[in-house]
Amino acid sequence: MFNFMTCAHPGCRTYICEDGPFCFRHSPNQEELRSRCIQLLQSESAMVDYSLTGSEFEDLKLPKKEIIASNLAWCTFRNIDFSHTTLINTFFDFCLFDRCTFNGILSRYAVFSGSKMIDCDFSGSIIIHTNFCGVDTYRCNFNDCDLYFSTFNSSYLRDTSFEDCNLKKADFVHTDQRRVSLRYSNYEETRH
Amino acid sequence: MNIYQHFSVVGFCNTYLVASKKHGEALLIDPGHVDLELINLIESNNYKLKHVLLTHRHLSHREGLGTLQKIYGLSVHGSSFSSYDFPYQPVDDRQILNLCDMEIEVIHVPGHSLDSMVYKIDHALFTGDTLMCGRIGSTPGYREQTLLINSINQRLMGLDENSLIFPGHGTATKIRIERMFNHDLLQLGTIQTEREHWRDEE
Repeated sequence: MFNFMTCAHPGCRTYICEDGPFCFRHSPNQEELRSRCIQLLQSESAMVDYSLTGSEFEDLKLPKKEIIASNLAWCTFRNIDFSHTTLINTFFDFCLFDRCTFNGILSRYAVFSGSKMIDCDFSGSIIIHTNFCGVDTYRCNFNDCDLYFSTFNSSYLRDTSFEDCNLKKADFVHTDQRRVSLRYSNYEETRH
Repeated sequence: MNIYQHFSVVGFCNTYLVASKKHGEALLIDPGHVDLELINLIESNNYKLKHVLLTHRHLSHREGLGTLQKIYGLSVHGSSFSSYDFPYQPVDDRQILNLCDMEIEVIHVPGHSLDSMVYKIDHALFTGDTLMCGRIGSTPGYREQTLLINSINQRLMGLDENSLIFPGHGTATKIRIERMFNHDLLQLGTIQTEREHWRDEE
């Protein structure tokens, strides 16, 4: 798991970046940390136990790689292609995902909670035990996904489709849905 | 610290394998069911499994214990409020355990069952059936539900908001996420206020 040490800046409770004493926001060398993270994201080797919160990334295509036990909370991702990546035990909570692609990913025990997702495509993915609690989705596509035991409760879903999905044990309690398609999916097997 | 999740299709329970990064010894939290995947998880990482922590007495969280005892010969730790038909070391509220080179704080959170314990290891909380993603544990009645909500509010919600929650069922989460989106806890005033302003600010 990523390092649980908190930032050395007085009053800041955010987890530190990698091994440094500060979080990304209070780090004096933000640009260096960001480019190192981009390098790690674009390399084919697995990203394990990595932490960087509150950074911004744009126009990247990730290779088929694993991101494990890492913390990328509060980040902004614009036009990032995560397709065919494996996300295990990784935290993307309170992020902004704008025009991101997640086709054919394997997500297990990942957390996207509190994130805003605009024009994102998750189709054809295995997304099990994944936390989407409190997400806001706009024009997102979850078609043909296995969403077993994933949680969408308290989320705002707009123009989002869940067609031909496995929704067994998924949680849609307290969701606010507008123009959401659940065609050919087993919505009756969800908690809603 | 390394944390590995294992999902048991029997009882739909999460089992956690936890080990410190510099130590070869590991512990298991809630061994719901033992299968090849769990054994492979332990063996492929070359861990010496030494201890088991039980969050509460329900069978779906300890059904694999017998098999594990035969293989590894473990020391089992469970709540002093529980009674088991096997030898175990009772743990009490606020007790600090030092196991496998890790400091483990025991937090008593009754409601789902009288013996429900949460184990805090560094910034990770293993909540069993007390607090899960977006909901609280099931309770036999309203009185127990109130007890559980109060226990969660008093003992867990005051912890660091970035603390990670690894529940007995369902997905991982964080204290902050539960403060904002857990409808079972929304009757608590301060949390409701935080949620009310969440989307207004944007």
